Amino acid sequence: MTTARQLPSSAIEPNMIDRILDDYRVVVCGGTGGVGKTTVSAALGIAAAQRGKRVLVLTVDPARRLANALGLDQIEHQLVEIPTGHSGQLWISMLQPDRIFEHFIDQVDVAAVDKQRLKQNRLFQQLSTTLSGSQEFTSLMWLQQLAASGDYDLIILDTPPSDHAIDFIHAPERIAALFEGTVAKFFAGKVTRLGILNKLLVGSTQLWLKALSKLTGAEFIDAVSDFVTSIDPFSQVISARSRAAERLLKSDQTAFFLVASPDPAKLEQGQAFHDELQHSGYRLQAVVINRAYPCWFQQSVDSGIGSTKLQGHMQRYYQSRIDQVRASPLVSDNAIPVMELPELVGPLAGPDELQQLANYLLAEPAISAGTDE
Amino acid sequence: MTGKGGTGKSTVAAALALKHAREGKRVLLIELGNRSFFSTSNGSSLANAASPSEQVRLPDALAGIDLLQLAPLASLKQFVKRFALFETAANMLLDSKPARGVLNTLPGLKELAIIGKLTHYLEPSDEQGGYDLVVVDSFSTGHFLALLRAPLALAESIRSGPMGRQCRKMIKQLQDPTLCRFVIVTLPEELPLAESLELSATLADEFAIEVDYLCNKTLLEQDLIAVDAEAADQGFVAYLEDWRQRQTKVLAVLTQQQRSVQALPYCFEVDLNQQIETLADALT
Repeated sequence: MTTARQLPSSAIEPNMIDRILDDYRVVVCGGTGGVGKTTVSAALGIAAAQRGKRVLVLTVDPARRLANALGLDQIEHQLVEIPTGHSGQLWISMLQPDRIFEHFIDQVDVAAVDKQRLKQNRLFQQLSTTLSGSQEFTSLMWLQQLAASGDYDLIILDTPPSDHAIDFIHAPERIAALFEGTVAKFFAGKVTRLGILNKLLVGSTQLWLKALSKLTGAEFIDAVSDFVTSIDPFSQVISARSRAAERLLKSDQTAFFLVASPDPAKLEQGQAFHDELQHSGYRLQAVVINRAYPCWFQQSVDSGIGSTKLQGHMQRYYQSRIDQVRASPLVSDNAIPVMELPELVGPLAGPDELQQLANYLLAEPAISAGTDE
Repeated sequence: MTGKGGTGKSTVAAALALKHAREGKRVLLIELGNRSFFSTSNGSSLANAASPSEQVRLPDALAGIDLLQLAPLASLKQFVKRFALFETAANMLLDSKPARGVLNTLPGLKELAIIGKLTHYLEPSDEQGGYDLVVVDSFSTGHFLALLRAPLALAESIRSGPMGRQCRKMIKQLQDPTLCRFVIVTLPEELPLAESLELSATLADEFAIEVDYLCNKTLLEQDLIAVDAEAADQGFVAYLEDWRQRQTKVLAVLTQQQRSVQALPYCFEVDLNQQIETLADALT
């Protein structure tokens, strides 16, 4: 992969992906839904194995895409080793989104009777699987646990699908708040739920609770009250694990990658993601523009051919998108290496395509920036 | 409108709104979430950052469409105001810090508030502005299901009280095909297709809701076969052949679903405004 790029581009800087894979112990791949985070995460895993690493890729993948791409039927929770033909070792583990929160509850160190009570709560049963942020929270807990095990040189986390990349950063806070915060304090306590609720409802300082009760009906308040009482035993372990996970994400062992598609709205969101990460003390180390141009594009630009009218249209279209990407603040203003990956032929990335992408990641020059520390 | 991320859902939603606005209907386009699709730099010519919970008119080519950005927290506040029996009760809830904390963190409440706002447009009363059509550019697949499940879950857990009643009413309105139509935007690609089929099966099972499909970014059959394989760039020929096979398969599978399916053209325009117009022209 040594072809010099002939596209109009800013100064070509050395690719830093190999250094990031060597220097960090955790890589978090963020990005909005549909940009190909899972594919890029898997390709990074192969690239790391190629560099001799013991690497684990963690993914929440409702489409079972990664399993398909790697030629497996399913990968659920347990670790599966993937043969790569490289000197390192690659494992994949996939969380099932529909059982994700329950799985976490099963794993934490809390008395079985308390786990049973929470799982039997109607609100928990109905809401735990769809609770926004529960996938993010659980995958983070899981990352922290596996990183602490010391079994891997590198763990790559494919963040759950979301409408905005930044959701990943804030979701765990929201879940932790549910378990340890305001709700529990104002409803719960360890006395019987009706007792405390009545006390709250008659207390003159708790007028707002009366109002809430009027709004929702007593039955709802009752269900919520039981819910928060049930989650109370979990609050300590959850807040400790949340803090450990946050420390890991902010430590100098963790690098963030942003995976984006070459469209202006996504690039703008990418810039917001960059700003927010920097503001909150995380390290964004690389941007990957996935499916930046079709596989035939570079060659057709190099040779100047456009064999049909359609190809001419497409060539101009992709060229103007590339120009847009390169002119965007995310690419031109930040001191972060930006990689463009081609869109390969083939409906589903298979092992060969993933290897091809890994080669691109390791060998293609970045299109911009890259700090030279 | 829903669909997998990256399928062009927001552009297609805007195009559908434009098509109906051109026909002289009063159209409201609602965006869910904290960020407006039209406030990004590529759309800044269309609307200056829609302020949350306030309708703005889209100018220029998209004139005739009102745009409303519905942020979850703002929806929650409106929801409380609407259902609190007394004004003082609502203010008490919204002014009290612990109460706001509770409202904010309780699972499903924000989702419920959004659905509450959306179904409010289905009420016979005219207080919402008398729109002929409301197009909702909703969340992508996973979050969309969470949104719909909120009233269902609460209706199941709460059998009595105003909240439970409201939830059951909302579900009924969403399920009424004379009021609501659900559209999945998909692509002529395997993964978006798989996600679309999975979503429509879930919607049918859990909610008795049937969906229609818009397959975005398709190429005309004549373009796909018109390449002279002898003279052409071989990489491009292979690329188009792969595209043709995928597209044929995806459209065939969608057609088998016995619902309305329309293929929308790939827009080779970078300008968002133009893309929306091209798609509005193509929509039937």
